[in-house]
Amino acid sequence: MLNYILNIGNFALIYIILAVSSHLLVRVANQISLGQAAFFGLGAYITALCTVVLDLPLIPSLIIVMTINGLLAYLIAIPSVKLKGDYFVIATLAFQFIVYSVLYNWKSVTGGSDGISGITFPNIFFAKIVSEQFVFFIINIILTIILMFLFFKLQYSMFGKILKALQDDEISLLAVGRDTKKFKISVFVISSAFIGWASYLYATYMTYIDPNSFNIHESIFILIAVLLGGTEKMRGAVLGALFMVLLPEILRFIQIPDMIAAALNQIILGVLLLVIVFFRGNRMFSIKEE
Amino acid sequence: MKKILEIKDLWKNFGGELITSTERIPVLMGVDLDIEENNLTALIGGNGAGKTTLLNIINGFLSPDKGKINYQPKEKQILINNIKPNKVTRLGIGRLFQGTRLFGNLSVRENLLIACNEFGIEKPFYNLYSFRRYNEKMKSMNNRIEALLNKLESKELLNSLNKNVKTLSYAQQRIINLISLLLGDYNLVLLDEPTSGINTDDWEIFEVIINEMKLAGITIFLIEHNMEFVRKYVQTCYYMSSGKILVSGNTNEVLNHPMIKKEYLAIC
Repeated sequence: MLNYILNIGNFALIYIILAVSSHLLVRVANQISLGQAAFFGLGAYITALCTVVLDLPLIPSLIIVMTINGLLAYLIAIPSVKLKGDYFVIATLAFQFIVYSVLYNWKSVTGGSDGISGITFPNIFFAKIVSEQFVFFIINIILTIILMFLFFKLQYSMFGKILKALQDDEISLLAVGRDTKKFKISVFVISSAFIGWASYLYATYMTYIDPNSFNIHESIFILIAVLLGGTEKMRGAVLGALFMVLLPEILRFIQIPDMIAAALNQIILGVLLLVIVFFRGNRMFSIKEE
Repeated sequence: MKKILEIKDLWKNFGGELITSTERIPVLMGVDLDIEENNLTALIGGNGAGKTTLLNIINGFLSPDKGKINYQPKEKQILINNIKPNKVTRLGIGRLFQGTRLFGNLSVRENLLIACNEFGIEKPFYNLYSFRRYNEKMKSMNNRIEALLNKLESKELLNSLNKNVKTLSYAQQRIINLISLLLGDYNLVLLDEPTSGINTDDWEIFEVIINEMKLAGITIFLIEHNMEFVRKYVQTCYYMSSGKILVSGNTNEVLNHPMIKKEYLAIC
């Protein structure tokens, strides 16, 4: 039972990291991205490279994953931030599909649909005393708290205020001397770089990754987690991620056949998404009229 | 007197090319205009004369087809055609848009904080790796805002500093827009119809703000339809019609010009 709870806890924390780092981009700066799972996946494959091939410990791997994710995000952001609203969504969607196809088809490097297995969590001294899963959980909690602290600080700094202003009126921001493109690129890079943390934790926890874990459904999953919270405060993203992870488990507990439970999960998410779009629709994919 | 902005032979055609045919008449046809330092200069003229287009070109939102805009805040002269709007602002040219343009998701205080133009502290994580400087700057910005509002004796705004800007009335939002220009350390501000939507009763605070701008050494260039206002405050006037400056000079001279009386003031 404890292992089961730890397992759920680990997943919940990984998705909290994903949701919180997407929250700044999607909620605060209103840049809806459907490419979050692509960065999640890229990070996971770089983690595999770091741990399987290079055999690096935790912190250097995290730094490498963040750097590569950040650099790629920078390259993607330069052309994409010129697009607004729905067009930006399409650009990130395209990136998502490109990354997925590359991971799926570049068999010599990524292993194609077989994926990569044998990704190990770096040996930690305490792991011999208590269970490895528990140690992982503790590290997971520490990383999540650090990330939430960093993003909280970001959201409530002047940088965050500018991001919030960005979703209101870009022309006015230009007229007070702010380079709006620079801010959009920054937030995209920061969000994608910190998704690398979730990638690292996911890859080392699962010990096996394949392209199908990082497809468009995963991106939509992250996006729903962020939007479900319904508030601009960070707790919205945290609660959304918790809900998304816990919902299938709750359905499993209320003694209904697996086949119906899986379908019910999809139905509940679908209805929730409809409700979000219905009540918050014009905010979700909005372009300010000029 | 020293000229802070000098516009020479400015042309703009939204059709793309300079073709003076009956269909594609340029919006601006060789505009010459000088703005003298520490002076109030107004641009008057009917709708569609190209007034706002001219401001947008000075600001860098549009690029001119032909012509020169020389900006001289200090000794050095800078050519500012084809410079991006955010860079133009950083050179010290502020802008008040037509209608209200505030950041509706933010509070009054946050709007004014952004208007303070402290660019350095807006880097991501600045409040972490340099938190002492960040806190100092935030405190001094807040003090500046409160001191300014106290000076303007605007109790309403002081009380609603932490409210969302959308909860304020149109006139108050407009006044916040104007106050923003006092915080941003500008040399020249371009005001697009500052009095529109503001009651004559509220002109008092307007007068105070304009006096504050003069004291701070800010040169004002404005588009205005309210002739009462122009008569009262403005020294130099330019009359624009169909993309050309037709009359310019002293306000009284311009407003008493027979052609303007017949063409513009009769309708206005």
